[in-house]
Amino acid sequence: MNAPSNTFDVLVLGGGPGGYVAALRASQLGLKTALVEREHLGGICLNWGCIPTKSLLHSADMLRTLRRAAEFGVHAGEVRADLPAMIERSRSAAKRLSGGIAGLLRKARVQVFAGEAQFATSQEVRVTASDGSVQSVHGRHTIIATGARARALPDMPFDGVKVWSYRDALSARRLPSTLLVVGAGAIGLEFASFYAALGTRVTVLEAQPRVLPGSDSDISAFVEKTMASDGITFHAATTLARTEQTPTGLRAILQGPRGQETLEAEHMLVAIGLAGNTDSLGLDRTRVKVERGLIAVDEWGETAHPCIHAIGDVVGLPMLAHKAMHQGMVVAERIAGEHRNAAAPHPAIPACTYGHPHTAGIGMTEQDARALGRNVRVGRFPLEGNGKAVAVGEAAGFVKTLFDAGTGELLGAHIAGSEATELIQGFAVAMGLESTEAELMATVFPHPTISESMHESVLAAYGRALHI
Amino acid sequence: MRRELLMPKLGLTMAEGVMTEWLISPGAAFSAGDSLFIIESEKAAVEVPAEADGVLLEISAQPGETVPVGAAIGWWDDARATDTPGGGAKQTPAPVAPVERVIATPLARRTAQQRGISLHGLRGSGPRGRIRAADIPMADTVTEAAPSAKDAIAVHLRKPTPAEITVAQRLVAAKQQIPHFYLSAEVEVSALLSLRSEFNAAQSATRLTLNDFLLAAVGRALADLPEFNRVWTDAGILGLTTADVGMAVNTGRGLMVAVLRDAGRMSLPDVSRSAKALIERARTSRLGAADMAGGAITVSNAGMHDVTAMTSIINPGQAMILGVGSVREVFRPDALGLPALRREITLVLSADHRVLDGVSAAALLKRIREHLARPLALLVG
Repeated sequence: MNAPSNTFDVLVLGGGPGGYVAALRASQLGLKTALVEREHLGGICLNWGCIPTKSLLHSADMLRTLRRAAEFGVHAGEVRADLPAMIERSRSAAKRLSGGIAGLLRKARVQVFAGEAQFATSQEVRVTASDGSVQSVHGRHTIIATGARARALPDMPFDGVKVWSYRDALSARRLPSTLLVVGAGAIGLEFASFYAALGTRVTVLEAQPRVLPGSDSDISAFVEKTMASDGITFHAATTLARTEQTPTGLRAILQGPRGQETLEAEHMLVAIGLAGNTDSLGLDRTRVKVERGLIAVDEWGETAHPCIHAIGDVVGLPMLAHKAMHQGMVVAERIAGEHRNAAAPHPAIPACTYGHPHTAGIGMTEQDARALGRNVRVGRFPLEGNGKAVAVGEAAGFVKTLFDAGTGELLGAHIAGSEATELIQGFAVAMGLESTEAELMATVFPHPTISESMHESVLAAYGRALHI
Repeated sequence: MRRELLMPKLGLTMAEGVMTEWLISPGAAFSAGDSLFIIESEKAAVEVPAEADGVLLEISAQPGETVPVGAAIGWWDDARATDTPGGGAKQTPAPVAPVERVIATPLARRTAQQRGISLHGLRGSGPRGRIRAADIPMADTVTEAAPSAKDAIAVHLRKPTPAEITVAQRLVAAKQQIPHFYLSAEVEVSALLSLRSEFNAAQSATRLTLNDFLLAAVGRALADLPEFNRVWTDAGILGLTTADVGMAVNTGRGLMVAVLRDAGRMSLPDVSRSAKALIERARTSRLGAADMAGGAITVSNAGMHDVTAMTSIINPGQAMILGVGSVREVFRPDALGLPALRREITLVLSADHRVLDGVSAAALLKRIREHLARPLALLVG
């Protein structure tokens, strides 16, 4: 019999945004909670994802702003990018926040075990620490929040030198002269945008016919146009036929609509998607089912074993930190006995990208809505019509809204341009409260702000836009 | 302009109504179709909707008060300029008392309005029971949500709404005070079902349902035997002159009885069209008082719910109700004693023994069965 001190109401595997939020919420609800983390609290998001990339991209934005300073009557002198200093700042931001998570867990009396977790039985997990010591932890309920990792190309494993994963791109010591980015999703485009801003010649490859394939097609088109004018070369509907090592980097043979092309680059960043971290968990000793590398769960995050839940990237798309956090809260509450007679919440999940330009979207894309046979009203408002955007020199971009023509339901909203990522939550609130066009039209937006273009987009969907 | 709000007449035999509950307070604005108050007649408790947009100015009938039909129960403003200059009905809005309100999202409100479904009584799945768009049933689905296994775990004690209390009291009174007796019989509907399929396949203007045949057959039977078309009232036995047939309609707000006027003289396609129009009005809460008035009998068809026979409670104010079961395939001995496959439904006639005896009720039931057995006559006659 194990010491009762190692038995918990809730045991969370993984200290990323899903896991630590689940642990904090479980603890708030009075459940005795523990968390197992093998590397850094805060997970990929905080240490190697969302946060450090935002630090780097902000450096790039600042660079871009300073280069335009004279346009605003400011003479900034010599503007020079210092990659190691940028990397250093991003690492310290990540470190500071990771320490913050440790503090939050401590305050919430969540016991943290450092090490690799592996199920021995459905209710017992063995934690192997870095020194090889093993201890047994029991959870009446276990929440798997082990996240995902970058998928490698089948014949080109990450080597940290020429073939980069996001981690290598986040810790480069020297600015590459050329970079080939494979995959034009959010991760690929953010790094493309960052390195291009610093002067690297960047080429982006995307197997789908357009960049940001999951986004609204107007967003994709705008992003591709803007990034192309920033000097990034795009090859859409193109795959990597093969790669060869060269003394200075690698040579890639691309297969695209124009036939085969050859391209040389110092580094290749592979950002073709993420794979769930399920393999080392010993899930075969539980009833938990894994399908295509992802843990199969019901709408409440319950696996095939009723006492084991899973949340976040390891259960599938969208692989976004805020989705994991939301699921973490809901699962903790359900374990505590809440939501028992309720329908599972299905809030719309916003998705943001922070390259240049910023993009943000929520709900259906126009092509989704039309594919579902919805009768759609589309509102578009360009930021050129927005006073604040023009005043601050950020007039590139637009707000697009989609409404069901019959009911006025806000089906989706898509924003490109300055502050897009900060604005989208307004539409998230509207969708959560099931606003129709009438409530959005009747809402007063402050002037002068870029948010007014959200209002105008809603008005535009009904032929009532004022500043266009 | 200031206008009187009158106690409506909800049935032929209704002389007075009991004000059960005001659903809005003086000073509150309402739109056409919003429920204003609940009254109780001898038949049922009915939520009475507004006929036009306006503002409730004052109420004169307090809950519990009995008011003759046609008497004022309150006053409202229709927001139209008055014809007499200077006679302006400018009223200081009364302080708005807290109104019991339904918590629903804007999209849910609009969806419910579009589907013609009342938000009252719906269970919300949103935070604090807020009704979301997904909670609004489709207009054409049966609205009794089957409780899920998870719901069964939780026990809820809920205060019935005033309307539910009144319905409950009426049903108890009907079951206790009307001396019910019951006659049951099977009727073979093979001929009817094949005729219906043929008719529906041959044209698309009118889609006949089994219910249409039942309504028509009951109407014809009453027209054939007018002496049984009567109801008991406190003033005496009231003989009805037209063969009106009520039908029970399941709506989002519970079971309602809509009356098909003079069904005994209508052709079957006319019965079908009128019945569909009434059902639509019932489900969209647009049933007027005239649509619910009169009739000595109601047809309550449970055929779609897979029941063999249904013994019903007589609708207060009427004398009979015909409960209809599902179509069943059964073997019956034929003339040679060999099993023959037949399709049958079971009819149970509940009757008020104050106005009908066993012989008269049996005669009526026999006539209904005869009409159902000769469906072609219903169609052409």
